[in-house]
Amino acid sequence: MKPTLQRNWLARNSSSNASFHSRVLSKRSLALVIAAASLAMSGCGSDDDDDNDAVTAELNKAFNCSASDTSGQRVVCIGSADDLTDSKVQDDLIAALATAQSGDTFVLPQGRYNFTSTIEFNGLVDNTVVSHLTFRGAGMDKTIIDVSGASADGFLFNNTDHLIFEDFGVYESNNNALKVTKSNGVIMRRVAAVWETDYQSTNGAYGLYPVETSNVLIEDSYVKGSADAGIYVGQSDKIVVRNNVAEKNVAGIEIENSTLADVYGNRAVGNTGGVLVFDLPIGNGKYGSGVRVFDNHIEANNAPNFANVGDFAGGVHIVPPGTGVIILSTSDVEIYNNVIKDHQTTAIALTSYLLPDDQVASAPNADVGGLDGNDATPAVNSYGDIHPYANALLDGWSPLVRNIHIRDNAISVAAGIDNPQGSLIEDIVKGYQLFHAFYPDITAGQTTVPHILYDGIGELLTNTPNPGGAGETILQAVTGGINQVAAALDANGLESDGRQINMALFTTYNGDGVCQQNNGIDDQTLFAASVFETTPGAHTFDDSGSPQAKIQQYGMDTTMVGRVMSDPNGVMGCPATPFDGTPVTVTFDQQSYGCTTDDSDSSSCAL
Amino acid sequence: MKTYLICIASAAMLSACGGSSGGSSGDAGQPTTPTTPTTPTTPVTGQCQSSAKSVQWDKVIAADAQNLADYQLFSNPCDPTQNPSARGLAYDLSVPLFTDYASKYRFVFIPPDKKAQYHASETFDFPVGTVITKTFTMPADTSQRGIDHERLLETRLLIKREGGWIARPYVWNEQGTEAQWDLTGENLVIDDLKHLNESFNFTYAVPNQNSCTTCHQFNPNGDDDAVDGVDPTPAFFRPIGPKARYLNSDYDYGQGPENQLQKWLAEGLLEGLPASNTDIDSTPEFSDSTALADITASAQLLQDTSKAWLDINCGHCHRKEGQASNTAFRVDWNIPWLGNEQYHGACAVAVSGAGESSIIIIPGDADNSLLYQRMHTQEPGDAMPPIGRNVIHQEGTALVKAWIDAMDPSLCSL
Repeated sequence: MKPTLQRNWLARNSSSNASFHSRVLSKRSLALVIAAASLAMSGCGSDDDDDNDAVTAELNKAFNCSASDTSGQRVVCIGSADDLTDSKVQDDLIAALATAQSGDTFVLPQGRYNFTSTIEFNGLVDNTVVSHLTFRGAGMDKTIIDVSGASADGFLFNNTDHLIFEDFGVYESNNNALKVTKSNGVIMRRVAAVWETDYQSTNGAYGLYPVETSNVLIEDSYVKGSADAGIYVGQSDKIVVRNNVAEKNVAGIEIENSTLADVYGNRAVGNTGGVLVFDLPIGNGKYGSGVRVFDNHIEANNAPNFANVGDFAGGVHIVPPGTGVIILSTSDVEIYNNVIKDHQTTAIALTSYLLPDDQVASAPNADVGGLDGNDATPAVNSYGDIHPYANALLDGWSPLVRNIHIRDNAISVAAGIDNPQGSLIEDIVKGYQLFHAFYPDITAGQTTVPHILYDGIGELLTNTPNPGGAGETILQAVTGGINQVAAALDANGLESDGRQINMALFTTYNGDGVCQQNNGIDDQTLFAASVFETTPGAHTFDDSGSPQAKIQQYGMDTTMVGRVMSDPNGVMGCPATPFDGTPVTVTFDQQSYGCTTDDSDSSSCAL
Repeated sequence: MKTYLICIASAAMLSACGGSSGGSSGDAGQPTTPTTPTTPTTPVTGQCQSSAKSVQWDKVIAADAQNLADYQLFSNPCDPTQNPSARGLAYDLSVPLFTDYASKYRFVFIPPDKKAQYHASETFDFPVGTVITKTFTMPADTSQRGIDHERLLETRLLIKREGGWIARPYVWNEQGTEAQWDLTGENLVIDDLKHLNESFNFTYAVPNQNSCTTCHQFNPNGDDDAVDGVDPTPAFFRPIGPKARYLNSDYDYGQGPENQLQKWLAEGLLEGLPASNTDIDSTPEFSDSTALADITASAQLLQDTSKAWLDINCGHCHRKEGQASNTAFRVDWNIPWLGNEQYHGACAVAVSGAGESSIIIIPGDADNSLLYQRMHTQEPGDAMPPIGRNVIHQEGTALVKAWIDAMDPSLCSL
């Protein structure tokens, strides 16, 4: 019944903050690490001055709007020629929404206006469904709505289809600047979401924030200063994010638990992490794939991580400062033709969810209904009792990265930019520093960690036979075990959904892992390597069954030295037909957007 | 388009202006009405006489009266807390939604010869023409409630039209003589609200009319049945409180406590009620005066009371059919706790934007549970619920804390 997992490194204790690697580095190595020259881990990796943008100080108020009563395409003026007080503008907008009709355009006046309440709309006016609303200002630097007086979000829309936001800015939100949920058809165009004080953890969380939406276009917009993600598209489908600027956020642009997204032509500069593609175990059936990140300019994302620290393994506070692109537990991603330069930790980091939380590989609990008679084993009465991630796994989530194709990127690192950091990879960084100390022939000027850094541990456990098993791999043992217990719960009437993990997600890797090719780098050797081997060798696991990083094996395996900093033909080699993403089309009424349609002639889309 | 009246001079700084007419300083950064609960509403004689009234049903359906009094829902137009007109009945909930220690007075008015249809687990189905009123008042001291000691703040109307429910917020002037329809919401300053041995100073926010839908939307099947982004069963607007489990409790209509559902039946306001009360759901009763020790004495009572409190305070959004369905916290009463602990947030990781903690409920450790932290803060952006709470509900947070602290930590230790 219960899968045999003799490798006792499969932790059974929840230690939410211990990263996988801290156990992997033995005490002996750690002592050496600590003895090694301590690096000044200054948190300030930005050469930008911290002056607040004062462009908004002198912004003249101006009313320029002609109302129209044409049914289905009304124009509603907000404010009036003789009254542009804050309260007039705010109350006009609220009242206009309370009496909105489908097809309305709300024209916001020029100037900076302080609002004291969230502008919200939930798709109903007197229980009549209202859609097709446009909010238009005089320009993202001309119409500024300062929502610091509102207790939560600046703008909050849900259940409203076909929304267009254009040519205005939302400043200083206490929570999110512009949030849209459960809507089909969302366009954010030339919209700014700004927190004027740099690197302040009390800044709001998300700037432009569509979540649980479909057919989303975000273009030509500007986000700065969010304490989480500037542009964040979550749990959504059919997304184009293009030609935006994201700077000085924790995460510049983030696509999370979303399907079919094209991210291109953007500038992500001066954030903690530039572009993130995450797939988190959120348990609501929405898991991501099919993201393309191309022709972006991703530079010097070396800001300190000023996110609010939670203990969520996958939270944005884990983003290592100085990372260009991060792929976390997502599959089917293509990263190509980007300029990725001057990152002090690594240009591209790819990791399974086992790096932030090794409990993914913990053994399932099979004590269905508490029938084993042992009070020390917690009874399993529901799917969630089986394993810390059972609900998400049964829901369709995979902790692995597969089908990642990294090609034709121009990676460069300026002299002197080599200061890897980040609590998530602290032990990895220490390991590499140790390695460099032992191998002084790693030339000066080379980065400490590889430019493309892959954890490898998820793949390793998917490729390693379970000791004493019947040929299944370790992760197959875990997931297969969860399936057995889930089936027993159903059989015993404790659950009724009949849910099972899709085992196809956990087949042995076969050319469908992380692959990189044709990535150029100025004046240096491109390093692309995994922290762990991805196929088990003689010293992959130590005597106690814990996996050993490649760095830990160099005393035992003479071939390991070259493989620590790069995997020339192995781990990241590309198969004959590497993953090739599909262009995304966003449909908004009769209009369509993306590389297949309005942008088909653009140089980005020709790549 | 505008729905504002000209403010009477003495009320120039008052709420009903909505900031749209002259007399407003135009500074939206300042809450408008300085209220002083220590001087309760003192009705001006003449304006506030009681007389026989009858509900103006046609005006209710039109739902465009500038003055609340035009609907003639109460015999005294200045007192929406008692003496409803014919076909009106007061009701109370076994566990109320907390709103900054305001008192609440609820009435349902159902047109003659029509009845609400009983439902076992969701809001009753009310006939067209029904109007529900909920009046919010603020005492000077929470130990002395009742209209004689309180200031009228707002009266919210939910009206059932052919197309469904609509919302109409009315805001009272400082004298308590008139309530005007207010689309845009108001900020009312509350100075020195005494509660036990504390004093609260805060801004009471009357929600704008758009905000009503935030809590009052209900999406059958959630988004699970959406095809390519289009939901065949879209969200609609409906009341939250009038459910069997909250009305299956006693209320004193003047002749001693009576079961509310039986009263609705006797008054001809309800049909379809099961004959036996054992077939009708109920929640434990909880109010600010409930002694926590009486609840914690029983583990089952503690769990049921906490679940009921969370259901009425959070469950309209935090359920599959609510606005917060994309979060990892769901708390609808109809889903049992046992066997669905993670569904309710136990050991569950928040989807995004967590505060100090990112685990919603850590069994045995309320202080480090995000749920408790969200209830126990006034920080904008973190505080939950996001509407109608500018003060921490001490009694509610103490209840939920006791419940989480009493949970077995092994629930999450696998």
